[in-house]
Amino acid sequence: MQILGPDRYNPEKLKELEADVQVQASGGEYNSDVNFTVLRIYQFYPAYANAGVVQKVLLMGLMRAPSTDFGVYLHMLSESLQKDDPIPALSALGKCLAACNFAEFWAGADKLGSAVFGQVKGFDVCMRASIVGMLAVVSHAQVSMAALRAALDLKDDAAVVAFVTGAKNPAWTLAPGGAGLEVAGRDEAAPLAAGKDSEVLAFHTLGPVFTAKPITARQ
Amino acid sequence: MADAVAMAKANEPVPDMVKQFVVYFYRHIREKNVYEILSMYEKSFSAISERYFKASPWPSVEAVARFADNDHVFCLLYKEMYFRHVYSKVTPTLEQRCESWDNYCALFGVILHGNVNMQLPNLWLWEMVDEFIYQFQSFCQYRGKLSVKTKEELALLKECDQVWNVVGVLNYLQALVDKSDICGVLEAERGAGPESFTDTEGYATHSSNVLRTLGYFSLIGLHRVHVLLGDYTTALKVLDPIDLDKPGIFTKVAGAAVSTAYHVGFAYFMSKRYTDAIRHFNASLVFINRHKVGATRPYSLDLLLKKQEQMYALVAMCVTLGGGGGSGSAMTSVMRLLEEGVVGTLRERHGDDMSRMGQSVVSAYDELFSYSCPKFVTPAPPAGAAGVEEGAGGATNYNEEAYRLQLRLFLSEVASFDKLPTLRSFLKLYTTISVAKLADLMETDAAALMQQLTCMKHKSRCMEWRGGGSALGGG
Repeated sequence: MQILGPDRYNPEKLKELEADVQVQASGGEYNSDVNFTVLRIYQFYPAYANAGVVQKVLLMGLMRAPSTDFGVYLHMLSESLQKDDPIPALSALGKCLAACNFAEFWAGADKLGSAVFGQVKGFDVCMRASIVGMLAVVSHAQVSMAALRAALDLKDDAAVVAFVTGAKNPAWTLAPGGAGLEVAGRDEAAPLAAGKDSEVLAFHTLGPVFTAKPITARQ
Repeated sequence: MADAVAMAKANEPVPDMVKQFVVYFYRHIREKNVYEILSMYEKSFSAISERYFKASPWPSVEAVARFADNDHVFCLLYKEMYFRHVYSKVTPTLEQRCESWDNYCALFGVILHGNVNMQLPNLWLWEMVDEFIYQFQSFCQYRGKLSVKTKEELALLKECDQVWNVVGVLNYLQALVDKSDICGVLEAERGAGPESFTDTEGYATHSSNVLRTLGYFSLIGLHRVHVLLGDYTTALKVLDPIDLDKPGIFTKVAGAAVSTAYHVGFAYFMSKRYTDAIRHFNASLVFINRHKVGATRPYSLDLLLKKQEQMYALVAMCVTLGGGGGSGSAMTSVMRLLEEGVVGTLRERHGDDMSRMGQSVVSAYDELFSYSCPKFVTPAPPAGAAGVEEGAGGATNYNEEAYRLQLRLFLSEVASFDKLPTLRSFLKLYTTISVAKLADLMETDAAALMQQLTCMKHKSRCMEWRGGGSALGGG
């Protein structure tokens, strides 16, 4: 569903948009435009806010970690919506993911249970895939079995292997000897702000070079 | 009764200076003399305001209309300037706010119907959009302060629920974008044709520039409103038609360039894309340094300087958070994105703040965020708000709800950096160190330490724009 121009602010579209959120939650293609539009209309017309739709949108945002969608969805919810259970708990889970505290994430998710997470089809699988992606970036595209077990809340190596095999992700390769997982195509580009120097020197930076005193050898 | 009021206003005395201003201003607009219109708009209007109307409004439109042949469109334009002056000098009444809204509706209505053939200066068209959103913000603040209102005021407010309604504001901006087909024009321009919209700065001798240029500035207006609503992703998305890294019409109007950079940078900042935020703030701070000497109006210089200070505060936070919440070498690598002059001023103004933030002192973040953030809006009263019924003193203000929410969420993100400065300082002391020993030093266990190390590495990376049409893109 494409959201163009004035449709972004049209409350008459709300039913259609909420239906699309349900389609996304049932396994359809993720559409952040639709989700932002729904939350925006809830901002403009607080009486129309549907807690179930909000929960689904937040869950889908969580599944896309480390994308900023979840954070921005939260920024658009009013204070009163933020206080409605289980939104504070989902917000806490978002913080766990942001801090890479995967053990606490899964513990919190277990507490909420399938009543919440069952609203979005395939939440567990997608969430685990996103966490693998996060680990691959910080681990230089190689993730050990131990790290995978802990981060994915899987009880043993066999469960990890079953998950990786079942995911059928062409970028994932199990390392020989059960050492772990290799993730191809992870961006190994520089961490923050490296490599920004240009080969062209700014003129004003040359001043100190020309005005410096010459170095003379000591006798 | 209304006729009597209008008659009284029409008979209001008009100083000669104003009469002359109106006569010549109207003539220049009729003759499409953009240069003279700009001179009168930018210099004469503010000079007369400073001299004769320092603390009072200009004469009403009813009083001056006869000097402009009672031209309907000129009257709408005059009223736009009239209310802008009112808003800058006094706190407008509800009646004035409603009248100003009605005037914008009428003015935009005329322009959208294609019934104008004027050429107006880009500065004026930008300030029209800028003021439109400013008055919307002001109304949201005013509406949210329920506790100081009388029962009568609350009842009147309830009747004016369409005035400065957020959907109305957004729909007008969107209508200007759509009707002007500015997205199509900018898209065609990416194919680099001659006589492009940017090359001619939107002025075309054979037709009016008003709708198209208003459409262009409305894209920036939409972006700004989305930032005020906390929707940072859509805010960046609506600017897709504009190449923010290239000169454009928005870079030719100082106020537009600075406002765009501030709001784009803020949207990136709240989306945790710190390097992209720094890039925009840096370019704008350099721009302001060059342009502030040429500012022709005192209040426009004040606005530029205020934005400059806010951007320095935001840069201080970006540099700290982009350096993983710490100080020293991590921050230094991020500082390389800044011009030398900007770095010097940043250290001078916020050196202490950055030290405190580097030690995870939350109050430092709180102060800088509160100073530098835009005035967020709560677009509608909260559901079930009793304020309108209760009357004076019994209602709860909600004008600051949006700001408190954004601040709380930001500080919650900052809290995730809490242990990182300490961890980083231990890592700097050792070439190699075992996990067990480091866990001891951090007064935690090995599992928690591994989590903090993973967090530190994760926070040392962020998405960065690498070219392409969309500000949201990057890797």
